[in-house]
Amino acid sequence: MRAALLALALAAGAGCISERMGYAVAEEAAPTGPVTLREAVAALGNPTSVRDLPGGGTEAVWAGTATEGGAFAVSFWGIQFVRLGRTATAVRGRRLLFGADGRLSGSWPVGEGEPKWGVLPFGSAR
Amino acid sequence: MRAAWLLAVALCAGCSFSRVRTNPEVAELETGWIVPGQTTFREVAERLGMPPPVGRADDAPAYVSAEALHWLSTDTKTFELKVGYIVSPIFRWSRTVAADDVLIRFDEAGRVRQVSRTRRRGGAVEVLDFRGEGA
Repeated sequence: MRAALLALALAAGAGCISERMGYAVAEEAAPTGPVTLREAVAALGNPTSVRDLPGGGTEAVWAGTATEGGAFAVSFWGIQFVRLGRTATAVRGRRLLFGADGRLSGSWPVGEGEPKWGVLPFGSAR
Repeated sequence: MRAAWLLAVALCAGCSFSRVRTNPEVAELETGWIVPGQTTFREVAERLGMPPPVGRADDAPAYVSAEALHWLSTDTKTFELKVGYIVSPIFRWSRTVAADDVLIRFDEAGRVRQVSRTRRRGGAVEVLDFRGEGA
């Protein structure tokens, strides 16, 4: 019981940071089946980037970032002396390939998925 | 009971809600005059201007290329809570979505091949315009 309370206090003291941008916000399910680019746009919004493939077809990428972690600040009389945090940011996205017929031919995730935990240099943590 | 009220007041004093909207003018862009296959890159740039960056100035190249012009307006909602006197844990929750998004693609001849315009309000995506290839 005491260990659990101590762990809870430590977790609360570290704060909690959760930030999502772009595709990582809602993480809608990627469309499946022989959908067109228009149908994919209707489901996911405009892609972050689109390009033609050398052999024909189109590649569209939806990307966003997810940041998770914790931080706390040491301040006195309105002056912040130290801010320490440990956060990790990962890219989350989806790449869709459309064939020459304009139909979805391939789909796979982009980015690292879950943020990888690690100690960041002082000053770069958010 | 008094302690609970004091705690509630302290927590509320540390709360902050903010909402930031970048490039709101993207919602007012007129794209109905664009004709896929005819309108050129130069005509689009002269009438709509070049897309502004989102966030940092060095983001601008991501929205401008010979193949596409991409206008993006983002909507960021942030809730932050700081409690404590000397040592304050930071609780921060932030979500950024593309509120208005205009993507115009060009072919090798510099003519519009596709116009795609979407709007997101809440969680739903609405396609306002999709003309040209793949329409």
